[in-house]
Amino acid sequence: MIWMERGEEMTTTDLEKRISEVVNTLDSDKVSEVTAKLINEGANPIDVTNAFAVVLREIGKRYESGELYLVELLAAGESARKAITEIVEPKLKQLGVKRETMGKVLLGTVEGDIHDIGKNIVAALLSSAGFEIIDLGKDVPIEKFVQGVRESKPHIVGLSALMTTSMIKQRDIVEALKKENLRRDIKIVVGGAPTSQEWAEEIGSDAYGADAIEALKICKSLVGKS
Amino acid sequence: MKIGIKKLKPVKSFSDEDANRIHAVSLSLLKDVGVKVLSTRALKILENAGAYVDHAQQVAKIPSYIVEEALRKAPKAFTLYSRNPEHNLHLDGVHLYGVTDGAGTHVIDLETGKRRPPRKEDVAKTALVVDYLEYMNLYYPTVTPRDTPLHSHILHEFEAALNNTDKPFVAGSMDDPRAVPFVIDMMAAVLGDEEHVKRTPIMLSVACQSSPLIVPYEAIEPSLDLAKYNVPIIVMTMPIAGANGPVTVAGSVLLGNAQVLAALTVLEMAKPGSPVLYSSYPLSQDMKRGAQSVAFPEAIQIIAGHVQMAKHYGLPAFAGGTVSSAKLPDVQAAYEKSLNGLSTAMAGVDIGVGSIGLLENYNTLCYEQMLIDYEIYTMMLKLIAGIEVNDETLAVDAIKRVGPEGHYLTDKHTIAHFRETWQPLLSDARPYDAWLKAGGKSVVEVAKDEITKILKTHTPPQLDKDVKEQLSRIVSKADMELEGQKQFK
Repeated sequence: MIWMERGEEMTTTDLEKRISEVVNTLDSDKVSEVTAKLINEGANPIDVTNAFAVVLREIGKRYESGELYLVELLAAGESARKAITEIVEPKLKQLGVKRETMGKVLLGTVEGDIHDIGKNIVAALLSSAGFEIIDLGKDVPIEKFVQGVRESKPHIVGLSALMTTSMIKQRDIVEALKKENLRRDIKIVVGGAPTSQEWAEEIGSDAYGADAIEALKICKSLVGKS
Repeated sequence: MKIGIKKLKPVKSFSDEDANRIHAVSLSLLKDVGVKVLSTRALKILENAGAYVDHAQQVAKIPSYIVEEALRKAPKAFTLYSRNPEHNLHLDGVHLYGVTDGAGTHVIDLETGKRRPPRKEDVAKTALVVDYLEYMNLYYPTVTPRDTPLHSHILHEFEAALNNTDKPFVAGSMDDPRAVPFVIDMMAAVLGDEEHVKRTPIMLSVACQSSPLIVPYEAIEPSLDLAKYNVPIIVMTMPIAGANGPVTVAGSVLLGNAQVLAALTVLEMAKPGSPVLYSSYPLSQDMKRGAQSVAFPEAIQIIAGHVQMAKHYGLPAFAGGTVSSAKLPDVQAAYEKSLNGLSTAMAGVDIGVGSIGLLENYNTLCYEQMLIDYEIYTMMLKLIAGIEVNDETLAVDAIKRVGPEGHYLTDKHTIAHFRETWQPLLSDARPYDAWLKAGGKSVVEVAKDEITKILKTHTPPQLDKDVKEQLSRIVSKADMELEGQKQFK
């Protein structure tokens, strides 16, 4: 239950309804605008975050049923992520509350490869599903992955590669993480056109994401929230 | 995606001078060799118009000025009607409309996978599928049913179609003039009365010419009667290059063109201004093994040549395409259908290229193939639409917004336009493991699931109960009254 400025009562269902309406416009500016308005009207930032999660889950279901396009799923997720990180999270911080996420995922396109659209789609999907994303970008040297794991302590590491010639770096990264004694604390997921389930097993990765939707399912199951 | 708008310039198979030459030689053939006309009525029409008729031989030699006059009288643009005005089609040369083809003699059963004779329910089901598919605009019975009396097959087909779709009907084999009054009664039952039939006839009828140079009784007699009600007539030529047509492509284009002009002349002399479509369904003789194919390159070229001639005359073109002589929904079916469909579409045809679901030339209906062909067809619609270039489609603002790196996935330009992209009904673009996880199905298996779903769930527009009963009574009456040998005049 949320108390409005003018003393009106606003149920969580009302909140979800307003957020759902604006998220479904796929207009990021409008989503931020409405979110700011809700916060200013006194809505509880935790309730707002939860309402976004409910709305995005609903959109995810509509995508899986074939009703929505991937673009709609991504745009909805992207606009929600922006509104939450820019508007809701600062409020949560003020209240001393930490937002609970699905888990932390560190990902990047491996060294020698600048093809990052696949990795970007995965990042957007994971983020909209409630994961915290640390995106190392593209053409990422092995050492940067090692350093990233050491510093951010992610639950999952995602390695993307488009080319046969860059794919072999995924093995090198797995080996480097082993050497640095960081392998046991994380789950590794690989993906990209030349990769396969077989390759994932061969290099000692925990999982293979055939496409973005699979990657999301796998990450959820790896953090025990599928 | 808007309904097949042809923005591409039609691909020409020969020069305009060549087209003039084919026209000129067609005229001289009709004048010097003439055509055999197996109908006393049609011979009299030609004779009255000034043709030289040998009644004993049933041959008419037609002076060129009569053919030229007939071509002037044939309307260059007209509307095809549906009982639902939303499905009216205007033949304006700009649009391509999809149609099924027929008339199949076998069906590959959707459940058993076995080849069997067609049933009336196959006509009903294929009409239902056409009703469901957005870019299929007309229904031509894909098979001739064998579980109803053959002498009244056309009426059973019409009834099954009317009960399952409100899109215009193409009578593919209206071969008995005695069936015409029944067809008119059926249209009147749906539209209210005969006046409405004359104003908005909801059907077209095929008049299939016989090669070489024969105007058959079955083609011209029913057409002359239907034309009285303004039913558009599709004057079809089907030369088999190397068998009943010359082996050379140009020769078969010429022969077919002369045949279309002959039948068109009969129709325009009988009732000036009758809407006529120029139609081509040729085959190629396999010169080595003796069989015929609708999809050897020569047959495809003849269609392109005929479509070019139709355009040369300014007449609407109705042609095959998306056809194959494969026996199964296999790779041969896919490559033949894609190539001849695209060639025909790019030649600028106005109605056709559909032929969805037919294999073994026009003989075997395969339900799975219906959707596979529809997939090919909608891809072709996108290809012939050309590329629109304007401020919005150039997306300059979006390119500036995204800049180097980044992506367009969630950019507002993408959000505004992603629905305009072609969407597959069956095609799978997923990576191997994702496809495997989803069942690892071949396109034929996916098509089977999809068409089973359509047949189970799609509800077509319904006719009033009393209209349905009236239609059923007319068909039963035809079952009794049309029995026995038809009378050749």
